[in-house]
Amino acid sequence: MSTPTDGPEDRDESRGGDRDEDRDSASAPASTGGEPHAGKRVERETVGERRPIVEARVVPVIASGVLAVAVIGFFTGIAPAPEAAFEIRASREVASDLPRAPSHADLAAGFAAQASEAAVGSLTEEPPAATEEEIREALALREQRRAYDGAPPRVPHPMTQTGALDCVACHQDGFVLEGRVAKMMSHETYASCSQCHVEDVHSMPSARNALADGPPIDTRFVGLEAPVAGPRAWDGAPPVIPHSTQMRERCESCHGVLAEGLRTSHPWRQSCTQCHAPSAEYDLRPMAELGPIGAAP
Amino acid sequence: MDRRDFLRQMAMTAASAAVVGSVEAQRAIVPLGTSPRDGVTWNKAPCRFCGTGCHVQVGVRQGRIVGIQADPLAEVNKGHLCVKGYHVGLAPYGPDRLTRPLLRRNGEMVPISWDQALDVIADRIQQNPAGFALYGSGQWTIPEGYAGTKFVKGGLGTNNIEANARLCMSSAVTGFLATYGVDEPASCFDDLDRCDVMICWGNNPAEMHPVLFSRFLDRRSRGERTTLIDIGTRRTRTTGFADHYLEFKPHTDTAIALGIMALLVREGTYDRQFVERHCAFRAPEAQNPTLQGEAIDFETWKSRIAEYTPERVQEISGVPAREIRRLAELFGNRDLRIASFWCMGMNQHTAGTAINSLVHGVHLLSGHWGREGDGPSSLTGQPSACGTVREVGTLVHLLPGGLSVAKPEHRAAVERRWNLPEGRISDRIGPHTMEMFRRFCLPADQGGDIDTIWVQVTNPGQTIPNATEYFDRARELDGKFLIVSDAYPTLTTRAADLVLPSAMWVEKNGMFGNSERRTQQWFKMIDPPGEARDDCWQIIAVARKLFDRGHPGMRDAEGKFIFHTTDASGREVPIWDFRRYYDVNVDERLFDEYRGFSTAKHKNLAPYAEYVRARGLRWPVVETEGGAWQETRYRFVEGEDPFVPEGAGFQFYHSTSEDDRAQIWFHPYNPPPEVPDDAYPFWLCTGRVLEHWHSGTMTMRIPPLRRAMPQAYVEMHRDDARQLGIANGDLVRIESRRGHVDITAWIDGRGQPPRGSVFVPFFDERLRINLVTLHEYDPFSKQPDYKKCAVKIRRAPRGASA
Repeated sequence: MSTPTDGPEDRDESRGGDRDEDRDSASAPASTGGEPHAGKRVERETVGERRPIVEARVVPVIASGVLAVAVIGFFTGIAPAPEAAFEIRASREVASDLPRAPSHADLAAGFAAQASEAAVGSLTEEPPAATEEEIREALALREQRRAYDGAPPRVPHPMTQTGALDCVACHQDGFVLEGRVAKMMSHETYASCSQCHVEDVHSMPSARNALADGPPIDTRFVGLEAPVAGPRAWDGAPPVIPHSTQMRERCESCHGVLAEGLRTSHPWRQSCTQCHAPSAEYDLRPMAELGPIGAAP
Repeated sequence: MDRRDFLRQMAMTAASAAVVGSVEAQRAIVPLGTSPRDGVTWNKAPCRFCGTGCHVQVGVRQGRIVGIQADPLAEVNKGHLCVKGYHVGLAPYGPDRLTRPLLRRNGEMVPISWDQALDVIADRIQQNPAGFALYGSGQWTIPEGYAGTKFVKGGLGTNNIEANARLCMSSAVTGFLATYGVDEPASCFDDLDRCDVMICWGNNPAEMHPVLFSRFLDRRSRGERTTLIDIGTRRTRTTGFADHYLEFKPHTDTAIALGIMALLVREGTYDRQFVERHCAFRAPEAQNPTLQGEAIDFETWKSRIAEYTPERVQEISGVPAREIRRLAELFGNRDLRIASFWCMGMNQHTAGTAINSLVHGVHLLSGHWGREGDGPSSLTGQPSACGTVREVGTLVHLLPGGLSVAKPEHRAAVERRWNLPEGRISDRIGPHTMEMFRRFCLPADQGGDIDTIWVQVTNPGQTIPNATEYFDRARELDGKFLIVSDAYPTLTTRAADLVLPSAMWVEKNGMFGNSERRTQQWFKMIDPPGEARDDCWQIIAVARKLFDRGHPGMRDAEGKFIFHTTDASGREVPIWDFRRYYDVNVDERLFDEYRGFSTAKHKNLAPYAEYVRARGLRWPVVETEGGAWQETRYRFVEGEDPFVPEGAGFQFYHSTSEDDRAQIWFHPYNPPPEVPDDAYPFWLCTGRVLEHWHSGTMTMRIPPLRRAMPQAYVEMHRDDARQLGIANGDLVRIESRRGHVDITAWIDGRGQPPRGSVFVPFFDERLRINLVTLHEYDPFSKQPDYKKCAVKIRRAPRGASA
C-alpha cells in the first residue's frame, strides 16, 4: 500500500527488500535495465541460497489485489444504503385499503367464540367448578338416558350406523355447537358403537301403537343411582372416584371443559388418577389373592 | 328376616362351604367387591341371552338387582357387553311376571296351588305315558336339561323329549357328526384374536354376536390388518364393516363352498399333505341317503365337484366368478389365517347338514384348520344349546354325553350309571320337534299320538314355523293338553291349559354352556316373585308325585327315588318340597352325577367347584399332575387336546371311517323346496335384531330395548316398494301359502335386502311372522328353514291393522 508521504521514486524504495527483486516484478516498471543485475540475482540463486516460497515477481500482483479489494470494500461500506423496495410499517399502522381481520381478543366476545372450540380468549378464563345446581341437573340428565349408573347412555338423536366412523366423527373428541354438546366418549374408541348405544326413541316409521300395546314396559326395575360425591380422607383431600372406571377411563368426557354440570375445578390437570384413586367398592378388577383361574387352592 | 329365611340363609352358606370344601378354598370363592357400599354386592353370572356367553357382574341390593357391570375377568368378553347384556338386569322385572299356577277351566285361567298343578300333570302322564312329551330349550340350564332327560328317558321310559335347539343348532350338530364323527366345536373364540381373514357365511354378527364381532373388529384400531368378508343374502350392519360383500341368491351357499373347493383342486392349491394324512372323502348314498353316507375316494370326489366351476357357481348363486376366484385364492394361501363363522343362515336351511359339512370341508381341504385363527367356527344362538341340549342329550335320539338311544351298549351304560333296571331306557326314538308338534295338532285317530306337551323355557307358539298347522290346530282339538312353564305371559302360555310360573336366570342356581364349549356357573342371587319356582324343581316335583302314586319308573333298581338326594350326613333331603329345595345345592348334585357321562366322548367336565371359581372352563377339562384343572382350546390338535398323543399332529379320534380322519363331503347343489314363482314372487327371510332376544318375552319388557326397537317391520328394497306403490311406513300384507301378516314397511332401515327379497324379524308377538314361514326341514337334522319361503307382497287392504 502506498503511503501519502511516499513519492513515486520513494515508493519503489519503500517497498524494501531487494531492489533486484523489485525489478523483476511486473508492477514495478523496470527501473534498471541490464542483464548484469538479473544475471547477478540468478547467480546468487543457483549458488545455494534458499528458494523463496513465492516468486518475487508474483508478490506485487498479490499485494495489488489485496489493496484493490480493501479500497473497494472501504468505499462500499461507507456508502449510503439503497432505497427500500417497499415500506415496512409498524403493525399498528394498517393500510387503509386492506380489510381489517379481527384479532383473537375480539373473537372472545362475539358469536364465533361460542362456536369455536379454539377460541383462545376463553382459555384465559378459568372455568369455574360445577355448582351444586349444575351437578344436580347433570345427574338428572344422565339418569334420564341410563337404565342405571354404569349403563351405556341411550342416543338422544336419530342414529344409523353404517360404518366405523359414523359416530366417532363427533364423539371422539367432543364437540360444542351453539351451546349443545356432543360428549366426548368416556371410553376408548371402539368401532361398533351401536352394539351398546341404541336410540332413546326409535326412528322406525309409523310404529303404530308400538308402545301402547303388546308386552307392558312399566318395569319394576330401579337402577343404581349415580354417586354425587366421593369420600375424602380429610377436608380438602382429593375425593376418591365414587364410581367404577370401567368404560369411564376418560375423565374429561364428563368432568372436563366441554362437559356441562360435572366440571372439575382444575381441567388443565390431565392426569386425574395421580390424585383421585379408583373406588375399591366399584372397581371390579381382579384381586390378587384369587390367583390364576383353575389353579389349585 | 324371619326364621325360615334365616335358616335358609344359613343352610345356603353351609351348602356353599360344603361345595368348596376347605376354609382356604372358601376364601377363594368370595365374590369380587363384596365389601358392600350402599349395600350393593356384586357376583358373577353368564348373561341370560345369546350363545356368546359373556360374563356379567350382577349388582344386588336388598334382594333386588340394581345394576350390571361387564366382568373384566371373563375371557370371553373381557369387560365388554352389548346393549342386551347391559340391560339383562332388567329382565326379571317386567310388571306382568307369572306368579301363580293357572289352570284353564271353561275358557278361564284360574289360579290353583302348586300341589294341585302337580296333580294335574301327574294325571295327564298316567293317563297316557306314551303320549306325553317334554319340550325344553337351549336356554334350559344344564341341571334342568339333565333332570328332564333323566325323568323322561330314565323314569318314564320313553324318548319323548325334545328342545328348541332342534330349530337352532341341529344342522350344525349333523355337520359336526358328518365331518368329525362327534358333535364337537373344534375351535374357540381365541380365533377372533388371531385370524387374518374373517368370513361370515350368512350371519350378522354385528347384531347377533356383537361382543365377538367387536373382539375381531377392534383389532383394526390397534393397527392390525384384518379382512372381513360378508357372504350374505342382504346387507346388514355387518356389511357396513366388511371389506367385501358377496351377495348370493338364497340357498345357494352350498354352491359357493363347492366352487371354492373345486377351484382349490383344479389349481392344485389345496393342502395335499393335510388331506393325504388326515382326511377321507364321503358322499350321500344314491338311494336312501343317511347321515353317515358312504366312503368315496379322492378321484371320485374330484370328479363330482368338477362341475362347480366359478362360472357355474356364478350362474347358480349370482356371486361373480371373480369373487369365487378371490375366495379360492385366499384359501389357497397357507400363510393366511382364515376363520369362518356362521349361525342361522347355514343352520336354518333345508340343506343345513350339507352346507355345514361343506364349509368344514373347505377348511379341511385347504389346510386352514387347527391353528389359532385358522378354522371353521359354528356360533351357537342360545346360551346353552351347546351345553344343555347337545351335551346332556335332551333330544329324542340322544343320551347324556353324546351317547345314542339307538346303540344297545350305550343304553346299557346309561342304565348302569343311573342304577336302573335293564331295559328301562326305550330303544324307540321319539318324534323330533316338527314331528312332535305335527302330531300334537292331529287327532289321535289320524296319527296324533302326542296328546300332552310340557313346554319349558321356550315359546313355540311364536317360534314354530307354519304356526297355524304346527301349533294353533291343537287348540281346536279335544284331548290335547298343553303345560307351559315360563316367567312371562307369551303366545304359548295364552294357548296353554296349565301355566306354571317359573324362576328365571339369577333367581335360581344355574349353569350354561356357550358356543366355545365353555361351561359356566352362577348362584342364585334374588328370589323369584310370588310362587314362581325353578324349572328343575318342577320336574323333580312331578317325578315325586308319580313316585308317591307308585309309578315304577320313578324308582331305580334299588327302589330309590330317581332324584334321591342326601345331605352331608347321609339323610335324604326332600327336595321335591320347595321349602327344602335349597337345603342342598341340587345343581351341584345333578351336575356331578352328569359329569360321569362326560368322559365317554372325551367331553370331560371338571367338578362343580371348579366352575364356581372360574369364568367358565372349556371342555374337555382334565386334571393335571399338580391338581389343577386344565381346559382345552382346540380339539383334535396335538398340544391343545389332551387326548391327542404326542407326535400325532392331528387326530380325529371319533372318525366315522375309524381311521382318525376327518371327512370331506360332497353334496350337490339342490334347489330349495319352495321358490318364488308368479303367484308368490318374493323371498321371505326372518331373523333377529340386536335389541331383542328371540321372541321378545324378556327384551320387549325392557324399556331401553323396547323404545329403541318397539315393533317388528318388513325390510324391502326401495325399487320393489316403488313398484308396489308402498311408501316408507305403509302397512303391508305379507302372504304365503300358509298364512299372512300385516306389517309396517321400513325401507333403508336396519338392513337392505336386494330386489325380490324381504326380511322380517320375529321378536314381536303381535306380528307373528311364523304364520307365514315354511315347515320344511333338513332330512338329517330335522331343522326347519326360517330363511327362505315364497311370499307375495301388497299394500294392506283397508281396515287391516298391524
